[in-house]
Amino acid sequence: MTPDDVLMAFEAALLDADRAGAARLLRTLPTSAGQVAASGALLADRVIVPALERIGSAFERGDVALSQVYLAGRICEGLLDEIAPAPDVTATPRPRVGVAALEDHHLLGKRMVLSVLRAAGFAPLDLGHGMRAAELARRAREEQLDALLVSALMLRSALRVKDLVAILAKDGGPALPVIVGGAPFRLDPALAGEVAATAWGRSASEAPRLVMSAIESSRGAP
Amino acid sequence: MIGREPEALTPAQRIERVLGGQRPDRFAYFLNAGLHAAGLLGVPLEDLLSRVDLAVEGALLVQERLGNDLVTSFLHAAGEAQAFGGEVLFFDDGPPNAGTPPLGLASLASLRPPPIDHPALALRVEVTRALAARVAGRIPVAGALVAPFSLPVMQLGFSGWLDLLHEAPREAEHLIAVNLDHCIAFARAQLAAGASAILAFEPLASTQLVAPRIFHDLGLPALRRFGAAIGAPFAVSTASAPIAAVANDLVDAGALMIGASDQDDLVALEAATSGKAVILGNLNGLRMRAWTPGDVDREVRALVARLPASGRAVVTEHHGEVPLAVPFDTLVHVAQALRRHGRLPRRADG
Repeated sequence: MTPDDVLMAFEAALLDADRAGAARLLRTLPTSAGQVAASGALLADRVIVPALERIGSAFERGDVALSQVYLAGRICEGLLDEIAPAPDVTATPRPRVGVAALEDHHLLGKRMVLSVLRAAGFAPLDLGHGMRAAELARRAREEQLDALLVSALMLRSALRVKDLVAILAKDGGPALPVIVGGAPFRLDPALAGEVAATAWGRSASEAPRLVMSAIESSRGAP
Repeated sequence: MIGREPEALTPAQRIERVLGGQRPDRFAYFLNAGLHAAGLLGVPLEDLLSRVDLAVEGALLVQERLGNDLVTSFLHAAGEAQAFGGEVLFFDDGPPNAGTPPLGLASLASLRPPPIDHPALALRVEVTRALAARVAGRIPVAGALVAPFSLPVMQLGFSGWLDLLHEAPREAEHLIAVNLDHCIAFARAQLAAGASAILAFEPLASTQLVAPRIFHDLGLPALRRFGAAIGAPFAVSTASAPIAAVANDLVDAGALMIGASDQDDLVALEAATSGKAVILGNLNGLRMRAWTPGDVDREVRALVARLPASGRAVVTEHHGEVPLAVPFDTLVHVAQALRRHGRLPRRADG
């Protein structure tokens, strides 16, 4: 199988929630596609992240369901631990990121973002749920994050992101990108701008790319 | 007080025509501003959602101010998780959340439906009874519940439910069976108390949320049995998730009304269901937050143009409840615009 064939077959296995099949495909990589699986980060960069991004795009088009995106992330997270349990042996150092549900007790979105980030070789901090903006801002600073990802299902929670961004802008700390996601942002694409988020994602699969791009932009800002 | 303006039909007559396939005098509408009632009454949201007297006065006040064609005894979904041992987390500026999921894999084998006199369920039944007594014959009362396949999202957490479906399908089937018994009992209690129809929230029917095969294998059969058991009209709402891909299945399962998302094409939806279902929808409450009176007029005209010429529709907010962030005055403008532009037959319909 060519690397592209492996990628397509891996994606299909994820969409079928076929964990064993996905694992078998990853194990074929050293012989079929060079020494790709030499480290967790390479495995993540070349196979897992592209597969999850393709699944995320399919979700945005309405071709796959949220449950498939969730299970794909969970499976990849587990496989990375199982097959390449040394994600810190990285080709590309990962930034320090945290994920939270702000004043919200709907946790699927946060869980999915954590899975996707872990599967992409990050070591994201789970900052929890239900806390207020000031508390989350304090935690983000304590943890010296490079980016903060906030998941929301309720409109009232999504609107609280504006308070969070305002607190982070005034506390004297370095610029901290705040990336948001969840149903209110999909249903009203103007909402992310209204709450002054750095970026927003239509699906959890976008998280790794959005994190890297937001950090790059913030470091390049005057 | 829009609701006091004289019209050719009462709300009950209008809804009866809509459900019976006869064209009403105008498009029916139900702007569910249940949460706004707290501000109108000057009481805390938690009190409004916890006391029969306040819930009833609030629902009637909203109906009177907006002229809605329905009232509902629905307060919040978290109450149904509470009946299974969960907690309700109240906020002063939005709907309650269900707290920590009350169930886990270990508790499923011995799980039974909660008694119908559980305070969280009895509250809704008593609100239904009191509302029905106040509006009898004039305004239909809609009962509501979370459907068997979607209730586990609050019982186990969304990820917990997806994990169970994937890893322990037998236990998942058992949970759906328990929930089906609960839903039938809860719906019957609301109908006996005076509800005319039941709105079943089934967000996981949407192919955007769960792979179609899983819903078809597990959710749809439960919904079909639910409809057959309650013997009354019922609606299925996916709470703002697209419904078009499963609309026909839901109609086949007995749903007389289906809730359309603002992402659904209403014309295509009517064609797909051959006009057999009453369409509920599809205003987007999130976008309504910033509407000016001019926006309202334009948006309502556009919506009315998309609705079935037969009048088989009830204009609602697509999630089921208008967010508190939408000013109440905006809803008054929406109601006025619906009455102005929603007359039937439309000029183009002859």
